[in-house]
Amino acid sequence: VTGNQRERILEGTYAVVARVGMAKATMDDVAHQAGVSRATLYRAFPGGRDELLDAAVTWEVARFFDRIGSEIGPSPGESPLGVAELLERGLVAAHRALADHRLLQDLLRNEADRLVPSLATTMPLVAAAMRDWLRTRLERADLRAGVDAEQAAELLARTLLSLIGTPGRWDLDDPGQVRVLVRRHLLAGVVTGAG
Amino acid sequence: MAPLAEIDRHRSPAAETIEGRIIHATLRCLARWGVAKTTGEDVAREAGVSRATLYRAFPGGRQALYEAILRHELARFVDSISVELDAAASLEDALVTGMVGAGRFLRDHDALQYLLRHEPERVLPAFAFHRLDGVLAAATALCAPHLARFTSPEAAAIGADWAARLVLSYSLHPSPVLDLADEASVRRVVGTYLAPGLTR
Repeated sequence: VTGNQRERILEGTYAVVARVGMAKATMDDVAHQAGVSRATLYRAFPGGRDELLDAAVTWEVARFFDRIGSEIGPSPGESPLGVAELLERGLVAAHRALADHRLLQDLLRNEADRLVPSLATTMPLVAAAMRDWLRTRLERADLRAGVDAEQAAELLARTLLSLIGTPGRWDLDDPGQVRVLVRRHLLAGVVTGAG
Repeated sequence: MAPLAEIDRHRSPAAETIEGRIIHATLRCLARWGVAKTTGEDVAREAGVSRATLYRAFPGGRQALYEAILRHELARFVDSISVELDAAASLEDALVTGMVGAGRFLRDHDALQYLLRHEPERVLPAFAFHRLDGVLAAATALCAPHLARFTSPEAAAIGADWAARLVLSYSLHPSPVLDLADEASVRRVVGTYLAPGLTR
């Protein structure tokens, strides 16, 4: 199975789930949608439907964060961003993208029992990717005494993921609040002069 | 879910009552077989009561029994960490005590751990997205008053919310970076990364 076929299968799965939901998506639907044979589909996903759906969730989560990453990176001509600016932009962008993600919102309303465990299996990967991304940025920043970039990056990644999914007491549409959250609280122990 | 602060502790039945015996028996069944495979008969046998007694104690059936268990376990959780939070002598102490206490409670909860491993669809949705709001609000209501002895009410609420997020994250997805059961490692993390952001 080529990478290209795998990509087409995952796109097809996304389209089928968007149409009928996770519970009703069948391997036949996906094969048809992706334009591959059942044999190819099972070669790519020997675990069948459950493996395919988990893979599709992981794939869309990766695309989701890729989109956020390119949205917040410095625009052409802009100087490199500090850690605080990156976190602020990231929180705002991810919060908005999540609220605007039609399929995710539909599935949370109707099939949370199916979606959330699948997302949970992906979360360690997402947390690790975000940790590594943050770590390389923290390593270039002025860290406070005693701060370990790897540890700080992981704590921040997990806190950010929690906030993106569930803002709770924070209004992430309000740039003023996001600024306070990031500078006065999340980064106060990590970088010098955050607040 | 009812905020923890609203839970009437006196209504949580002790082990000696019939209700209490049934609740404890159900928890043992859940830790062994999960929700799907636990029957009324299993629970009655484990509790040493007849099925008629079981249905008299919980006329609302399975749903009522599970709600009673949730209330019972939340009250036990609140009790177990309230005493220690009362004794905390500083902001860092209170955060460490709350996080370690909560982390150990969740880690040692056999029924919860069985469900997380084998029937995650019954547990995880309650700790994600908008349903996590209620959990965070409850945790804040429980812990913020203790933290507010050492910092502003605003910073106390922010600290309680932050600590609850970390406890849930590391309980549901453990990592070597923070072992919630290890008080010394939690203390280092709290002192280095959380406390400086909770001063006013």
